[in-house]
Amino acid sequence: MKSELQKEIRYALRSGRILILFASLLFLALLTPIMLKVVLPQVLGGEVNDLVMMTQRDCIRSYLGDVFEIGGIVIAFTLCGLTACELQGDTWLLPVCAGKRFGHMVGAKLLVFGTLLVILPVATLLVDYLYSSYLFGFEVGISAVLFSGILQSIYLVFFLSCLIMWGVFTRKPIPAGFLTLATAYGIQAISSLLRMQGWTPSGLLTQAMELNPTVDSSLLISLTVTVLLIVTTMRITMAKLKYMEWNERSAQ
Amino acid sequence: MITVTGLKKDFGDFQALKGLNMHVQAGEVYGFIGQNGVGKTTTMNILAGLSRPTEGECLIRGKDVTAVAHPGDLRVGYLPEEPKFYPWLTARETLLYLSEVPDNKRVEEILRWTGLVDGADRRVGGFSRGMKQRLGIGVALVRNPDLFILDEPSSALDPEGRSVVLRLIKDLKNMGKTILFSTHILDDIERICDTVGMINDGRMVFEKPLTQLQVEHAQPVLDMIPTVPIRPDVADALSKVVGVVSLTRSESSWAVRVAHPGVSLTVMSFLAEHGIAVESFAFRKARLEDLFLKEVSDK
Repeated sequence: MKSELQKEIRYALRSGRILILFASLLFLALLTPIMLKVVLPQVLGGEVNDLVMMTQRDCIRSYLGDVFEIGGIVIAFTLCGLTACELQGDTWLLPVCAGKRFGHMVGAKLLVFGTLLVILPVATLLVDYLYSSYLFGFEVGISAVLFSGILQSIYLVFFLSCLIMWGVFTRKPIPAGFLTLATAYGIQAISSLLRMQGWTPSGLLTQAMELNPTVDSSLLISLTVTVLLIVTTMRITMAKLKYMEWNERSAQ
Repeated sequence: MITVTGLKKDFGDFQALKGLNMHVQAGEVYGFIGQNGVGKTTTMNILAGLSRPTEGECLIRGKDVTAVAHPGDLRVGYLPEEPKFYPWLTARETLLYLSEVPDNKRVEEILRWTGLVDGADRRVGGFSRGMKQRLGIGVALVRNPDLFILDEPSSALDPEGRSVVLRLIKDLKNMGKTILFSTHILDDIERICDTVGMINDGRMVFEKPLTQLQVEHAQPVLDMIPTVPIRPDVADALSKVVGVVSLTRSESSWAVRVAHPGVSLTVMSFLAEHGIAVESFAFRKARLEDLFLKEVSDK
């Protein structure tokens, strides 16, 4: 699997994917505190502004929300070609004939880009934390911020597993991106309506917003469900790849 | 090495293969010819384990190709018609990535053999079609298989590129490898193949050693370029002259297949009687191309 991991790392670096993700998340991390400290008071005006007191906690929550809503779109369309482009462009054909295993090829993608989706959001969340503390003052402990960042990152790994799975099913990057967003937002909307967020990966985002580094039973349920869903999407992906016909002109 | 019996493949209502039979002996170069869309690539995909047959049996080294869990388990060096590489990897990185066990020494040997040493550290995205094709053959060799399936390896290459690819295939043959390759360039088949199989409409039309084919179809051919166009009724009359086997027109020239060289006198007399002068009148042995055109027109 070492060669597959090397290949994915080279892809992440040489295609500029890391840079796009980092720049987008950093932009949100720096913009959110400015928006809340400078722009929002000007928009709301004097009296209303006195009623709405923004704090560092609100700022970090706002950033976490932005990563789900806006960052999700950026991640979806930056990484939508991970598997779809391999199938659409037939670049997996030679590796498959050379004996590369589907598990290793897909696993390397999940591992490399999953690690990126842990490191980059946590790093930019720390930037947001420091910048918001400069503008609003320290209110939240760093352990709470790191805890929330990791919960959000685990959710993003689930998001990545959906991108990989939909890419294999659609063989086209843009539809794979849209289907992943529909899955993520759909789960969020339905679980909110039915008040069962704790039983879905969305529960991780809710817990992250709390900025409270404690592990309770509801968090454990969300974590277990998320891990199970990641495993399930990967198994579905493998099954689809195993029974796929390759290099077929009719399929192109 | 390869035994295919009654191979059928359907794509919905379309039957791409209709009971194909094929036998490839170990150590031979087998040329697989046929028009576009008659099932060559489909057959090769099935043999490489990339596609499943609807019916029939495909054995490689006596093992059913549908019984393997993964195409890589067949240990076949496969080169698709248009090999697709990662444009952001270099040739060296590509070979190392596709190696079973990364072995710099072996990769270096393959780079030297394919003539890609100078471009080894360039990204594949900037390679020409010929370089990609050579890299593709190198990739097929990287696991050192004993069987190669090459889908049109020399098509769409310039004469120099074609000659390099043919040299690589000859080298593989000298290494004792078995090679099944398809092509439209019949001259390539005559230059390097031991056996020729022709597929048409999803079935094998013939499968014979090249030498046998050349003996069986050794009827001489008269190539002639008349100074004036030959009218259809005159051409029809010429085809009925005793000793004339067939008549094929190609733009301004005509190929007259005759039973024996003596018939050329009769043909000349016929042309003289009809007042047809010729710019050139040359004898040659029948080539694979003549046979191919004859089979295609017969069908």
